[in-house]
Amino acid sequence: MGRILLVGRLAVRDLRRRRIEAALLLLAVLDNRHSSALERALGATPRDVSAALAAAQVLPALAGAVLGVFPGGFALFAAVNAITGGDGDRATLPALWQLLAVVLATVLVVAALTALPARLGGRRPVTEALQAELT
Amino acid sequence: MSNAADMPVLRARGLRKEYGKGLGLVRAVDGVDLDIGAGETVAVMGPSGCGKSTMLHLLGGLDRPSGGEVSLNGRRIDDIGERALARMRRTVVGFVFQAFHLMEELTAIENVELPALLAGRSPRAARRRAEELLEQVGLTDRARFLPSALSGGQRQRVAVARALSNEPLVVLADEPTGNLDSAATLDVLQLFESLHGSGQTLVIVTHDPRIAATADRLISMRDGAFVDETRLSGGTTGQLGALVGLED
Repeated sequence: MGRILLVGRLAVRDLRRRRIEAALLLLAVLDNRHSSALERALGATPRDVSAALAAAQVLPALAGAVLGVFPGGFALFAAVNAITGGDGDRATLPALWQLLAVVLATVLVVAALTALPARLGGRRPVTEALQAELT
Repeated sequence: MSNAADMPVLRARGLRKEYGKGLGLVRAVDGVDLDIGAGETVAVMGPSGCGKSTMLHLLGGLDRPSGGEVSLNGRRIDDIGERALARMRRTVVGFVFQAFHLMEELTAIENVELPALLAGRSPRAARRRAEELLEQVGLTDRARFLPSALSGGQRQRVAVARALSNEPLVVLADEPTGNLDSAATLDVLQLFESLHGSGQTLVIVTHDPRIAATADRLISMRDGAFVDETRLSGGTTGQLGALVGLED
């Protein structure tokens, strides 16, 4: 029972963290509107801007996902086992492909969350985006 | 950069920009015709809200017209895609804004090299070009400073250097001294004067008659349209500060 509660709390915390991450990503994109508009004024294409923003978010996300699964996840698993007395039959590690899928999914979601608003913003006239940040 | 003598670098025909609809329709730019030759400096003056900045943005492809045509170096830009327009801005036009619009996270030299990097120059070539330009605007010793550590005049000089990064056919300046005190205004005036002397094509939107005095041609604008055009004699005097009352 204790383990279920622990896993449940971890899951809720993870969900909340994901929502916060998504909100932060959106904020990061909004925060970059002035820089993006300026880059476009200087000759960056909408695709250049989207790619740069996505890369700026995806690279740390990739590092976080990898570190979170391999040392982080394994350490958490070992800690939970140690705290609860090590019931290996009921708590098993996911298969390697599942762990890799989590990493890949994280990267794709982060890329989409970043690139989509950047792409939509890229259709606004440059002047409008530049002036919006001055008011 | 050689142009046929009879082909303007910048040409607009029936240029219009409208906002809103019906009773709320605002004609910010209303049927502007303009030809700007290579090496010419043109000043556009008029009251606030007369459409001069909007017109400048249309000329540089920062905004889309509601009607009419704009050509840069003989090529229409009003009907091309966003990607082609971005490439054109990258190589053909340099912008100087009233609010400087420097990247606050980048140093002066990084700001100046940014357009060259976007245009695909190697980091080494971009850095070399940026160093030359900062020397030209007298800011070599401020190259590693962030914009927040520079005065308004220095920031605007960095912005002018950035505008020149890709050797544009035309530099479009929107109220370049609007946020500057008299001393900084003189610095920027002298910079524009030297650009004019070197044959750079310039279009300057300004409220400031001192800036306008540097031009070959002065256009007055009201309610989105040109109402007067004056060809000024000589443009520059070599003693511009004295001429415009900034020096004894």
